[in-house]
Amino acid sequence: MYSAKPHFEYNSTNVKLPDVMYKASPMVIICDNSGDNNVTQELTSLKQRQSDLLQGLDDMIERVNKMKSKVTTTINKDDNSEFRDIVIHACPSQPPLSLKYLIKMLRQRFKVLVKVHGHSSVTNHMISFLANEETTNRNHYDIIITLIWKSAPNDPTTHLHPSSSPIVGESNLARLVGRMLGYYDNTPASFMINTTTDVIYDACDVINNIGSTKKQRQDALQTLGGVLNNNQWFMGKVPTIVDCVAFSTLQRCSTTSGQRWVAPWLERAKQMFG
Amino acid sequence: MADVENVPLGDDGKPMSKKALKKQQKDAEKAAKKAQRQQEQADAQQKADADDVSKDLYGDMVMIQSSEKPDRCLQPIGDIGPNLAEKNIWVRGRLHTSRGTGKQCFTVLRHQQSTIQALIFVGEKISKQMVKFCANISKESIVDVYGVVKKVEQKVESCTQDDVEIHIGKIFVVSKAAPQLPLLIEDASRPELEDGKNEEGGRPRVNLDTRLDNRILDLRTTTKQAIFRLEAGVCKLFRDTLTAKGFCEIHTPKIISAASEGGANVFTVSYFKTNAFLAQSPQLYKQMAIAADFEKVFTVGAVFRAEDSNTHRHLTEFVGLDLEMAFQYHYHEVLQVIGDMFISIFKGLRESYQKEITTVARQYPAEPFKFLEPTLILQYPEAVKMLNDAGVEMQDNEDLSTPSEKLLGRLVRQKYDTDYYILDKYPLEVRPFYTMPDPDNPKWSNSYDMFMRGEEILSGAQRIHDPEFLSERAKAHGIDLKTIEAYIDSFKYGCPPHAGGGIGMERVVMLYLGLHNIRSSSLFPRDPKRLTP
Repeated sequence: MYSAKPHFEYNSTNVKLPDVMYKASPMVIICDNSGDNNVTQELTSLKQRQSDLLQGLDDMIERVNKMKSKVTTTINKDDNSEFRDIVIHACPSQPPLSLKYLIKMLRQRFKVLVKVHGHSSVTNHMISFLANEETTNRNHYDIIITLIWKSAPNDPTTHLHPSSSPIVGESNLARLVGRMLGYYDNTPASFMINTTTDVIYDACDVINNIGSTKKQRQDALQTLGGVLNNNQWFMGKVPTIVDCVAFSTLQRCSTTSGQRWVAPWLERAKQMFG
Repeated sequence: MADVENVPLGDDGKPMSKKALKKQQKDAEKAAKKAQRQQEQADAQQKADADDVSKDLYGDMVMIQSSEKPDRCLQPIGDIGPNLAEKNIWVRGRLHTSRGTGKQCFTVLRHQQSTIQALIFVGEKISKQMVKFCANISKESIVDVYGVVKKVEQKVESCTQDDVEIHIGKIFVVSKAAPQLPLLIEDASRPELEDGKNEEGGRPRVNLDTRLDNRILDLRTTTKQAIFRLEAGVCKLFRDTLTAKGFCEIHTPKIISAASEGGANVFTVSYFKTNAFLAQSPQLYKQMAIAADFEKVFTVGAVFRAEDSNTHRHLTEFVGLDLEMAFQYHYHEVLQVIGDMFISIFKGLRESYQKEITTVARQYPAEPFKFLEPTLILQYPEAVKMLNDAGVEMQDNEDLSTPSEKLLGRLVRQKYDTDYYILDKYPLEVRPFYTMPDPDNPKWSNSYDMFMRGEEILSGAQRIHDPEFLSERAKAHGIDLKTIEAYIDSFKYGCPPHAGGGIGMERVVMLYLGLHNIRSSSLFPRDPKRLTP
């Protein structure tokens, strides 16, 4: 009765199979100049602002360079002027044992005055640790180290400027002294040394930190042992400020069992820094 | 006819109108009724009195005219504690507060810095009239109380003797206070509010003027008692420390003929046929004492400054603690002595006056005073650099302004953690003409200032002891030599090198306790606007 075309005959020219699931309109509209006027205006004004800013920046750089050449940089003495008075707050129960050696090293290069004060919050003024020096003129000195014994901080805290945040810990104090002694001079020779010292300082910090776990302390001690590597001192045959920081740290550390290098090294260090 | 003769006359001599007559009658009736009522009351009172069990246990004491010496021991309230539990004692104190209901009355008795709760309740021996009498005693009256000390289970928060209370057995009024008090001691003892507010939660504060006008009442508060006892402590420690170091106390005249330093801020007094001045500082006489070979002297006396400054830290009359010392070779010897003296004062206050410090802190809370030993001594250029780094633009030959001083105090506190320090080597041009210049660099001088909590408390220096040099320096300052002839003559017959300084006692107490106004530490303060009490 009815004749229907066979629907299973497939001829590729008849059927166009889709190659995408959904077809969507293109998102990107390629703008040509003959297009929307508003958009073009915004773009040009933006471009103009950018070029203006860059121009202004170039001018400023030129002006700063000109001023730099006019103003002569101050000589070494003034570089140290920011180090004039280093104030260290320490607790009598945790004296900074590295301080004496740090002062000794500083004295090789600068005129150092040492002042020691006891704060009203403590009765023990630790007179035997470091002696107070009297002077009639503080201006004669390059560096003044003021040590204040007080009850609050557990780690020795160093203050340079009232406005800047304090420097916490002996290892950071040693880094500061190292900077003043010119250790961090960015020459390739000192890279290796400075990296090693950083490793040692960081290990000391871990050991000193109250929050460190026993495992962390043991790992740090192992690191130190590794760096020491049966040498006399951490940086070779001669003691350096790194050693005095390590001495202070290990002297206070109670759990050094299992690290056999500690005890003999401490004996040697006590002779040197004690 | 008879009526006309009997018509009563009014005040103006004319016969009174009917209305006036009626009014007079009514008044007479009222008066009669009142008299009758009073009579009834008196009768009732007499009857009640006759029933009063405790008639002899209370009342107004006869004025103490030293007629007898009863063998009675009055316990100081501050000493009453659990150690006296269950004992019968006599106590004299002021009625600080009292709250009474019909059957009982709670009072607080006060003596100087101590307060204790005392209660009375109707009982076998205590009648209702006695409790009523107790509740009606006006506040601030001085009373003698006999009672038994009882331990309490719950601490009495509002009293200093918080672990005991007295159960009153007898109470007598020694000296009555007028019922209307210009200020309540309780209100005057409350901690002050910020922003000068006067009331908080229905609890008023007393402002400064009211306090000063009624100083006697204001001084009765426990806080003021503590402040002035501490002030006495400062004087005592000053005297004791210096006497132990070989100083001699002297007393210098306050009526002087020539205005010593500038002439500007002095009071004049009429002196018989001429005028004289009130001493601005004992400076001149201290130095004369040194020239007279006393070597180490100090003086405690009044200082008068006619400065029209109405600030929180200036008075026209205050007590000056001054010292002067001859030294051997360097003025730092004197600086050391002054620094050590302050440390002794601070330590002594901390040791022996802790009770007073705590009492004051209840009403005027402040951070405890911090200091370093030995004293921190900074030099002027260092201080200027610290200020420059903090953003203050100043040169190192300028004087420090008050805000700079305060900022410097905060910076020093931040870096060195001390409220007390010495600033040495001030620039010469900001110091008086008699200041000795620095030998190496005449830009600086051998002078110093001392600061507490960022405010200056002492200004001192090495003085010029050579008359020729002194004349030179005076000329350089443009001072007419004739006006200071007597001063220069003091050094004519040889004088040792000497240095010294003076502090204001009230200012030291104010800054040590962290009070905000110097009038809180002056008993009867004097300023440009106040001459009484």
